[in-house]
Amino acid sequence: MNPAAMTPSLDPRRRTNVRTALILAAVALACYLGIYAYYVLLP
Amino acid sequence: MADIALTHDQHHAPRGGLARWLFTTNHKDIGTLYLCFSGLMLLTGGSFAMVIRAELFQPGLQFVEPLTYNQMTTMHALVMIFGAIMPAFVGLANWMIPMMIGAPDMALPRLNNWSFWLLPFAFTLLLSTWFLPGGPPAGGWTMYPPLIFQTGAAFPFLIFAIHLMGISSVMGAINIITTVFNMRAPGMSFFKLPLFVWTWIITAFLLIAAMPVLAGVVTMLLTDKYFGTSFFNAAGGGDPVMFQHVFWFFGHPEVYIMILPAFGIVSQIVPTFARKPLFGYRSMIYAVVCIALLSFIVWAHHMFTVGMPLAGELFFMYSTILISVPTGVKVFNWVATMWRGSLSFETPMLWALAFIVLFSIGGFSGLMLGLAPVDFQYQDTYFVVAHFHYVLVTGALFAIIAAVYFWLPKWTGHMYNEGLGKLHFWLSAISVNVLFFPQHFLGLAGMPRRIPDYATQFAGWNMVSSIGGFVFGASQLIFLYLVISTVRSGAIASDQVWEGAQGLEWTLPSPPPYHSFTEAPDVP
Repeated sequence: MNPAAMTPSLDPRRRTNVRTALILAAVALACYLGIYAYYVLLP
Repeated sequence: MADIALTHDQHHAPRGGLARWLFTTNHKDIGTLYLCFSGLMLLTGGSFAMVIRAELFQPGLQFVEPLTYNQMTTMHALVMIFGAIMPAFVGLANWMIPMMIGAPDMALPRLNNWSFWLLPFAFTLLLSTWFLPGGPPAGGWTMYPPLIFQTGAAFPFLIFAIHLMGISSVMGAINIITTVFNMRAPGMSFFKLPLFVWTWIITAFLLIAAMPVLAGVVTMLLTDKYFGTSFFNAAGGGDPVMFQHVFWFFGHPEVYIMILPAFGIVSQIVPTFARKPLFGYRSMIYAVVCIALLSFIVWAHHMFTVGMPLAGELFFMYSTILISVPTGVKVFNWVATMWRGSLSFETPMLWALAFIVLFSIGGFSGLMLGLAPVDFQYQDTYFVVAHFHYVLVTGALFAIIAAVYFWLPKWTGHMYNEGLGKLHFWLSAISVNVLFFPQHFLGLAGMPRRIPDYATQFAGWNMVSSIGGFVFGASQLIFLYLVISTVRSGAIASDQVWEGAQGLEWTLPSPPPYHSFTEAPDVP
C-alpha cells in the first residue's frame, strides 16, 4: 500500500492541485471585478 | 513501509463524536454533511411553501399578513435554491466523484471542509432575519431595486449570507474541477468519465463564472443602500434596469447549475436499469457544453417586458429557443437508451422516468415563455410559477431523490424498503402534478404571482393546487423515514447493488472504505 495515495495532503500531486485551484480562483475574481469594469466602461 | 501505512491509516481514521463532523476532510463525511444540510433546508423551505399554499387555499387573508406572505415566498426561494438544491448536488458530487474517477479523496480536502461549514453560518444569518425588526426580506429572491431597499435590518444579513453561499459554491466548484483534472486514475481519460462527472465539471465552470457576478451585483446593492453609491439609483445617474440585466446574467446560468447535475444523474440511472450503455455518450457531453455556453446569452428572456430594442428581444428569443436543440438531444438519447433495453422499474428508475417526462413539460412551458410576444401575456403570472417548479421540483429535486435511492445502498451497505420507496414515488408523482399543473391554468387566466389574495374566479384551481401541495409535502416524510431507517438497518447490499450497474464506484464494497481507492484501480 502506498501511503502517499492515502490522502491528498500527502499526495505528490498536491502542488499541481494548489496551482489549478489558484488559477480557478483568479478566474472567479476576474468575473467579480469584471462586473465593476463593465459598469465603469459602459457609456 | 507497512508500519508507515498502518500509522497513516490510523491517523486518518474517523474521529469520534462531533469532532468527526467539524474537522473532517473526508469526501464521504463532507458529502453526508451536505446532504443532511440539504435535507434540513428542504424541510425548512418546504414549511414556508406549506404556509404559502395554506394562505392560497381560499381567497381572502386567512393566516398571514401580506408582508409576511411576501417574506415567505422570498425565503422559500432563497432557502430552496441556495440551501436545498445546490448543496444536495454538491453533496452527491463529494460522495461520488472521487469513487467514479478512482481517486482516494477530493483534491483539496481542507478547502472542502471550509466550503461546507460556511453554509450553516450563511443560513443562520439568513434565517435569523425572522427575529429582526421588520423581518426577513420580502422583495423576492431576485432582489430588484428599488423594492429590495424597503428591507429593514435584514438587508445586510441577506447580502452577507449570499456572499457566504457564493464563496462556498465557488470553493466547491474549484475543488471539483481540480479533483477531476488532476486526480483521475491512470487510464481514466476524459471520454471515459461517467456523465455525472462530466455534467459536474461543466456545472463547476458555470459556478465559477456566474456566482462572482451575483456577489458583485449584491455588493453594489449594499453600497447603494449604505455608502451613497448610485449603481441602480436613477436620481444619482444609475439604472435600476441594469440590476436586472446583471442579476439575470448570473440567474440563467444558475438555472443550469441546478439542472445539469440532474441530467448527469439521469444519465447514470437510465443505462443501469435499461441494462444498456448510454446511447450517444459523446453527443450527451457536447449537448451539455452547448447548453452551458448558451446559458450566458439568453438572460434577457427573464425581462422581455421591461423594455428593450426589438433586435434585443429577437436575439434573446432565438438564443433561448436554440437551447431546446441540445436539450432535445439529451431527451432523445435517454429514450434511445431505453429502446429495446432489458428494463426494470426499481424506485430510482421510476424517479428518473418521471424526471424525463415532467422535466420535458417544464421545458415546453419554458419554450412558450421564451417566445417574446406571448411572454407579454405570461409575464409575472402563475404560469411562470408552474414552469419553474416543473423544472426545479420535478426536474432537479426528482433527480436528487432518484440519486439518493440509487446510491443509498452503496453509501450505507443496506437496501431501502422497495415497497415504501414506490409508495413515496407514486404519492409524490401524482400529488406534484395536482400541485403544479393547475397553476398553468391559473396563470393563463391571469392570476398574478407573489400575491396572498386573489379574485374569486381563481378559487377552484388554487384549492386543488393546495391539496396537491399538502399531499406532496406530507409524502416527503416517507422519504425522511426511509433514509433514516436504511442508514440504521436493512437487507445487506452487494458491492454492485444493481444488476446493470457499471463503473468504478460499484467495484468498491458497500459501504465503501473510509478512503475510497488507496491504490489506483484498473480502468477498463
